[in-house]
Amino acid sequence: MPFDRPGSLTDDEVYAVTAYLLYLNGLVERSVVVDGDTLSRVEMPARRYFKPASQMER
Amino acid sequence: MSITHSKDGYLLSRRQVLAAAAGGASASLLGMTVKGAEADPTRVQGSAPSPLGARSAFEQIERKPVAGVVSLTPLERLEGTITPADLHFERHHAGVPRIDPALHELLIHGLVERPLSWSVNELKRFPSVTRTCFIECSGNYFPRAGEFSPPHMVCGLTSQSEWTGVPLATLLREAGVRSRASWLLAEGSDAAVMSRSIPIEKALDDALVVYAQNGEALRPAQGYPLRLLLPGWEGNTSIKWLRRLEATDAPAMSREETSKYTEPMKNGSIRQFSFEIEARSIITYPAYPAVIEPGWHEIRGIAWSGHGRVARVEVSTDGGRTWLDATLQGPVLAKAHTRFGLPWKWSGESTEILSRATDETGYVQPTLKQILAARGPGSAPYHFNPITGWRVQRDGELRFNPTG
Repeated sequence: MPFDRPGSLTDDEVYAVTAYLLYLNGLVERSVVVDGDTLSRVEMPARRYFKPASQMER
Repeated sequence: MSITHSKDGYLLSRRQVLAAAAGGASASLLGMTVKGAEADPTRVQGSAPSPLGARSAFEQIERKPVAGVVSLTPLERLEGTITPADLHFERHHAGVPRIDPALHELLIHGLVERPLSWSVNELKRFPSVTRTCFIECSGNYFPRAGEFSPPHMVCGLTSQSEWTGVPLATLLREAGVRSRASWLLAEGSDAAVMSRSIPIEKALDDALVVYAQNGEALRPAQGYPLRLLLPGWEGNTSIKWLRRLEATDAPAMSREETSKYTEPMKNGSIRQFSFEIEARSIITYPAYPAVIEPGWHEIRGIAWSGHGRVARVEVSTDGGRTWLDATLQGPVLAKAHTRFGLPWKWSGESTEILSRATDETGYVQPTLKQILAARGPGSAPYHFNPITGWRVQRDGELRFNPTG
């Protein structure tokens, strides 16, 4: 990130951008500080819909 | 004998040039050499041996780049089953990296007894395996030009090579993978740091870490100097520019196995880890933009399955009312493009030709209607493998027909 300058953001900047996107999409409160610990506790909305193909008909 | 170079590099002897000039034929002779051929090749010394071969000047063949995202293999221009390395389709997520093989290493770590890393040369010291198989992109159905879509536009994101490398099982044994390791995270060294989670069963079955393609080093666009090769599985899992394998007890849920390469189904679920490429076939001749004359033709195409061997390809020349078994050209390899053919005498009347593959598991290639009925439209173009039809018009022109 960004696409034309890959790997140029610091870890803190990546967390900040991620927090902003999660906030814009209503997944975290404005006050949440996103870091390695809090980020792993965010449940993405599609997660409960995922089903492995191995458990489905071909 | 003195030698002179013509403009296009063909070698002509002075005697031949003088003879041609004396005969008043210099203009026509030079005109022909500019186009890459002699008027009479038995009267002109041929070109000398060269360090690198080149295609005939009469053969213009290339991939078809689309929107800076992919380049497609021109399936309708190929014969047999091997894709020339420079025509292998491309799909990468942040461009093709330039990697110095002397600086590249592969690391195995995580749930292993001994984290290890190898240089490319060290990997070449292990016993090698060579096998031929296809790689097909998960999303390989883009007939954007409607009825004017040639085969490469329908499914040009599949190519086949002979690959050489080390069984991944060998490397896992060296590192001593722990019994509770059930997944491997495979990571590439490109700007996308492309990563996918691979079940350990596949890693121990037929996965390879390959460094060669069609007898020479991998092409940069195919992962130079190292790539993972998972025969029969959707292409993106065969991580290119492979630099890291981490043994874990759960999938990483990377971007490429959640946001991308998953398929929303009509019942609301999202199909995930849909690794295997299902059986598919396509007629590559005759197909748009070919124009044919009445009389005999060989209907030709390729068929493949990520589950094993192609067992059967049926061809219909009457719009799907009746089907005939095509001949499969051997050897029929597992998880490999297989060439099929069927002689056909075209009467000159309009009709439609179709092909339908069945693999050794008994799976039969579905129609587009069947795919849409089973899944709904949300999964397109991932794992779309419909029967493809070509309408033959009375004027001999061909048209793509997706309905099958």
